[in-house]
Amino acid sequence: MQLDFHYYATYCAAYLAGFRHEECLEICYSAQFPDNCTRTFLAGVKAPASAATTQTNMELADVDPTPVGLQDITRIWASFHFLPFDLYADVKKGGKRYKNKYRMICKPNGELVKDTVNLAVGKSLQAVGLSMHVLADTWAHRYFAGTPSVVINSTNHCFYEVLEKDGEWTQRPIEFKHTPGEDIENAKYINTVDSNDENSIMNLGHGRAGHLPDYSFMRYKYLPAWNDYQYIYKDNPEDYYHAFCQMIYAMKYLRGESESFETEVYDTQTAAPHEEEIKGILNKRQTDACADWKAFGEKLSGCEIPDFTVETFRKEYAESPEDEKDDTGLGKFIIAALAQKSMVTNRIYKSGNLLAGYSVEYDGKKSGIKDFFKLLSSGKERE
Amino acid sequence: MTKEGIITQSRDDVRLEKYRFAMLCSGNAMILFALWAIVRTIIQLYYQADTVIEGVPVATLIVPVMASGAVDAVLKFIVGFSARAEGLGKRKNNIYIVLGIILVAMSIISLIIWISVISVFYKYDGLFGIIVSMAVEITVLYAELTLVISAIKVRKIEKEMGLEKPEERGER
Amino acid sequence: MGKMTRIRNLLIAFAMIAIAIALFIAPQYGPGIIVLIVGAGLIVGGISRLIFYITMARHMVGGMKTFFHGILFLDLGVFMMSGFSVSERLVIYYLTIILLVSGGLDIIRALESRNEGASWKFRLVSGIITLAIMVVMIVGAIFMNNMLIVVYIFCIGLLYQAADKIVSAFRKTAVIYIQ
Repeated sequence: MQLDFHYYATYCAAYLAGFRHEECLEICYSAQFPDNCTRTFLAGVKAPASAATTQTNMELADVDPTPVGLQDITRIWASFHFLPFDLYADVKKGGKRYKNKYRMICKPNGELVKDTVNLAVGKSLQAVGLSMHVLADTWAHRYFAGTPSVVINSTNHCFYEVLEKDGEWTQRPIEFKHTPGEDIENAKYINTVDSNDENSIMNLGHGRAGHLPDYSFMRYKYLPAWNDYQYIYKDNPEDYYHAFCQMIYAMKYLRGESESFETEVYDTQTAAPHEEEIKGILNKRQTDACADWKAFGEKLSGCEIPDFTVETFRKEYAESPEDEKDDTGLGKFIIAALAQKSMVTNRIYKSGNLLAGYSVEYDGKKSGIKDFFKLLSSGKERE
Repeated sequence: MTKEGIITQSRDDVRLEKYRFAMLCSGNAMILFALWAIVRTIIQLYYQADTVIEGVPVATLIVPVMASGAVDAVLKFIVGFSARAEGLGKRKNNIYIVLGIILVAMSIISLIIWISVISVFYKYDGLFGIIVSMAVEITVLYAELTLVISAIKVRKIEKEMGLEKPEERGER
Repeated sequence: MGKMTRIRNLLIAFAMIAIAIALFIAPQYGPGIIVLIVGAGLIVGGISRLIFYITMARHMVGGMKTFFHGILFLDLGVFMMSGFSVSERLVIYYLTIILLVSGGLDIIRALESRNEGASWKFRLVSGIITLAIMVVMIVGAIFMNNMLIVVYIFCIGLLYQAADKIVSAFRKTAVIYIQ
């Protein structure tokens, strides 16, 4: 997903879940920020690099294709954008290496989504926002894995847009190219260059499908590398609406309105009065729905929603004294990001899968990446 | 068409995609191996033109080697490109399948001849070189066989499914 | 990183250092050894592609192409090592591409870091030096017909990669999990 849904749609869902306007702004800012929090950004404000929740193309190109580099990539992308659905899936083909990659495939309503939402219980609004980003992305990015893998993430020429007009359904081939300038009316979209290398960053996530998973209006079918020549049909308007309703449910739970968070539960009742308007936005053929979502959000709350800019977090963090940095918006986001990354890495590691690297239980001694000790100090403060 | 018609895939649809991909991969392989064979042959003949192998001056072999190589390469290109196109959903005529069968026969004969003079190659290329050369010969034969068999199966399945028209085949 | 991976990286690093030192001492054997190394690299690449096909790619849509590429790489590698002098030119082109991509990426990354307000000067200088080395190599090897320059540049590259492997072998990589 992109700015229109992560920022504006999350604001709308947070408002419908009962948060105040100011709280909604904090939540939706942190729901968008995982797409902006790079190592380069963190280095610029002298913040812990391990809290990075995304990587720019240049950072990705810079990563060594060694096990360590690949684990670093996987930790980031699997933790924040391609949450694995079932780390213990019964895969009937391939050896251990293939099974490990297969088990990283992202889908909604997995156990890790529950863990992600529960991790935000009693924590900051930044943690709530971050968990909403992860939850929403499980819908948009389903069927792809947050680790470089040609055998899972690659696509091919069998890619069709599915169109519906007046009850009549048709399909047309999608033409992918690698230079900027998409033409959605003629089904010409951008994607990453084809690479047969298992560890190439071209085969990370949904790169080979371009931005199609992030366009709410897109319906398409394609042959994924892992599905034995069977097509997958992706209905984004349907998936995005599910994501929206699930976010409302999740945020009501985080506000304390329900006792537990269960998967496959969607608060369609709260969204019902606005269903037509929301589906209208989702189905509108446009690559950027920010204006529509913003208008909807401002109509809901009656308040203005400022445009998203990373300067908000940067400025506050840079100008704060050292001992107060953890209390800034970025400081709280960093704690939430470290906790999410630590939790997901641990789950992946415990399943016997080393794609995200090693996870060590804290044993009172100082071993492991030092950035993560921040979690220890933040935990003690909560106690 | 209905939504179900577009998003539902039968068992035959799956088989069809599988064989089309096999044709695409083996067609591409034929083209690649043909190109590489041309480059390698030219370089080898250029640098060995003044040498003598087993009493035979290499210079006398240039014309027959180039001629047979050219015929082989042209056949591979025709068959490879046709298979590629059919793998992408376009229907091609049956001539390339016949040429593919001829290529298979030529490859088998070539392999038999190659094995019969293997001691000569061993002297110049060593054991590892022999193994790799044999692997290449067998792989090319495998690609040709896969291509021919897949092309026949695609036709059979399309006929069973009644996919006569290009738009029914999903031709791009 | 696991213990075995660390040990393997260290062994590879020491082997690289040994080859680099040997080439510095006896550079006249350099072109032949570089051709052998590149040829061996292609052969290893071919074998690894075949292993990848058997273990992974055969389960993938269109995975057969990996098998064909593996065989082609094997043949390329054997051809490279068969001793034709044209192989030296191929090595120069191969090293030129590596240096061009590496230097270019460093410069682009430096400019990106500068836009974000992070440190960038070291990276920029590193990228410019890499491109300068590439130019020196092309001038020396092609226009001055002096393969020794190529050999020395190859040795420096080996030493740099060895140092990188040694550093990463000792880096802490485990993520701490605190409940």
